[in-house]
Amino acid sequence: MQSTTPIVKDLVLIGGGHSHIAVLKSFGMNPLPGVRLTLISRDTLTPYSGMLPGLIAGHYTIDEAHIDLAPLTRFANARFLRSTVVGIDPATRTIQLKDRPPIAYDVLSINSGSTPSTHKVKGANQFVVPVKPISQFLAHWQTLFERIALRDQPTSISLIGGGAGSVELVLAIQHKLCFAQPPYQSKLSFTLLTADDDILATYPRAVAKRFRRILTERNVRIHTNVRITEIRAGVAIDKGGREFPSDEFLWITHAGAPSWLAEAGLTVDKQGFLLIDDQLRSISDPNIFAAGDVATMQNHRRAKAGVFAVRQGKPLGKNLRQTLLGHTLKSYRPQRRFLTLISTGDQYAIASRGAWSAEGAWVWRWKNWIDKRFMLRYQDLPEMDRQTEQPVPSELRSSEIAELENDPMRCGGCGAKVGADVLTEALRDLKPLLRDDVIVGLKEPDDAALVAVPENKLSVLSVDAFRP
Amino acid sequence: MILDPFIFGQITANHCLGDIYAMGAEPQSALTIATLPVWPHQKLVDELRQMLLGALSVFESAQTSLVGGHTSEGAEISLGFSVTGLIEKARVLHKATLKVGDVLILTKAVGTGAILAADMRAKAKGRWVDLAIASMLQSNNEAGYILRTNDASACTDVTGFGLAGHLLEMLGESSLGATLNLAMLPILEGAKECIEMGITSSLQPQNQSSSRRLDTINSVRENTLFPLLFDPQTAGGLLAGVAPANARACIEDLKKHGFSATAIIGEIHKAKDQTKPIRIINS
Repeated sequence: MQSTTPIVKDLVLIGGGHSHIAVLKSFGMNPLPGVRLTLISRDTLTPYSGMLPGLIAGHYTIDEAHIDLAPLTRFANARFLRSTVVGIDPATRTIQLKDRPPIAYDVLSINSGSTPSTHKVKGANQFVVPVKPISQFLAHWQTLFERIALRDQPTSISLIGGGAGSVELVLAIQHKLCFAQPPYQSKLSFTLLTADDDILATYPRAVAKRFRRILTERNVRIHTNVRITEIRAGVAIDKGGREFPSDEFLWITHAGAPSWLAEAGLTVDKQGFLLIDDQLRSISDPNIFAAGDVATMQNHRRAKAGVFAVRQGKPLGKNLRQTLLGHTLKSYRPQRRFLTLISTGDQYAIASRGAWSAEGAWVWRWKNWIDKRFMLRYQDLPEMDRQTEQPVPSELRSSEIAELENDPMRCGGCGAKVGADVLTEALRDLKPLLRDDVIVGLKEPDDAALVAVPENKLSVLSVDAFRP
Repeated sequence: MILDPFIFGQITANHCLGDIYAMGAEPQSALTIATLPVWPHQKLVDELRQMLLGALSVFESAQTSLVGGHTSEGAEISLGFSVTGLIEKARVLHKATLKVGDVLILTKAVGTGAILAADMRAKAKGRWVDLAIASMLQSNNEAGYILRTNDASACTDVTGFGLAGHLLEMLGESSLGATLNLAMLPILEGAKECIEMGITSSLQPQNQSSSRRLDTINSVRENTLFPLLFDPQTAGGLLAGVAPANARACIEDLKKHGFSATAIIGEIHKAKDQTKPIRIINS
């Protein structure tokens, strides 16, 4: 049975990122009658950034390291549109999608992550494997893996970027290629190229020091103060003209924002990320919210990291609910000091919080426990009970809803008439295919359609209908 | 079934065209019939427009003209199409004209009923749903054409009654019988897992009542895949009888045109027991 509660407001979520999965779960646990959720995501599986290095290193399967958006959206009673956003029109509150018609929203939330900003680097599109979006990187990784496996001569792999993601990834790739498969050990070399003075620039120096030691032990070369501006076949060139030859380049720095944010006239920061206030709301449009990498909190600048998207999920869900109900929003303040756990590819990890840091296999086991517990929240959903229909809360009961419910004329025949207006309006501007043998169709409608049947042919007729 | 109104519109239109292709005909026109619930006006317009745009995209590629429709109010959304097609009398592909010796060809994998039922309960993996949607969106147009050019003796589309139900219709009151090999049945990824979870479509019990007309041994009846013979299909494949001499070329042609799940699933012979015309084996 479908719900008989009318749809009053549409909450549309763009992207299945770490914040939106929390929003979906919260609306599934505690539905808001009258509000329909819609998730727009190109991918059905959303990768969990915390487990990505473990997936590359071979410690997790695809299913273990991803959240499946199909059951999660069903749990939230949300529509799942498997599509890519190409634009937003805040004036008409519509979202343009690739290969399908635009979709309308009342309240919009964006958690679509970042896209590679390699277009500013000459040759990058041709010679670089971008690590973001992660879903596409995993496909690239498969081909890269096979390419390396097939190559007989020594192969050098360079990662452009010196952040935690880059450090974790190079060690995970090395573990997978060299230690899990010893024959490759002697023929592979790894390099990190970072534009900063040191690796892990946003982390305490104690953490950077530990990683410098580990990278040295693992024979990963580090080049600091290298800002790559051009890539040609087999060589990266920095601002000063220095050349860094390598067989493979992976790009894991300065991910960019989708261009449709700025194109929509929304206020964005210098990199193009949506500027949001302490309520996680766009500073230029009160109906648009955002979280994760795609947004920048104007009062709390933080490095783009998965941990913030995870933390923003709960306040985002709350404030979306408050907005739909017309209630006051709550402010959210991201923590300044938080626990980070960075793995080294071999089931070993480094923990830090503020000035404190520690390392060991036990840290990896701790990280593994935390990550698995997080995933379980979305992989093991409680049984749903949709039997009891809740009334639409008074805050959402517009005059139109009251009218719909109290209209004494809404019965059989009269209702059908109302429906006809809807059909005419829904069909407006649509251009059905025209055929010569359709004498009267939708182009110049009459009481009924007229269709010609050639003398030597028979007319074949059939009918069927469905509930969605 | 599918909450995405655009995709729902596409699947519904594709499903409705299936009957036309199963007759060997080319579609010509369509009328829409929709039931819409009591929602605010704009929400209804948006929903119906999405569904119709989906349907129109399918009708456009099928060279079918949407010529009108009717909408009424009801408790739940429903969408359907009445479609017309054209065919020369001599080229009609009937469903109850199977011949002894025909091999049975099925052009799509079964399992949409179980997968959609599991999806509604948030128990289906996204991968299964994505593959099921892709299958439901695949048009039977070319399959119908290929079967006709390979002189198929009879053809039908597998929909609500499930494979066994539609095969029983093909056999009708004739003296023909069929042997179906469960091991050859093409199955959508995840359908088996859904059955193992105990999840089937709400139409399953009704369809499964026809199992009394199947001749089989207990070990086959207890096979996990057995219930899939009764799984109702949305926009399912075509089931056709083809002379053995043409079967191989026909299968190759179907596979080449994207019907990758196409398989020979059985054969037609004289019925031993007309009360149980379908024998199910598993080898």
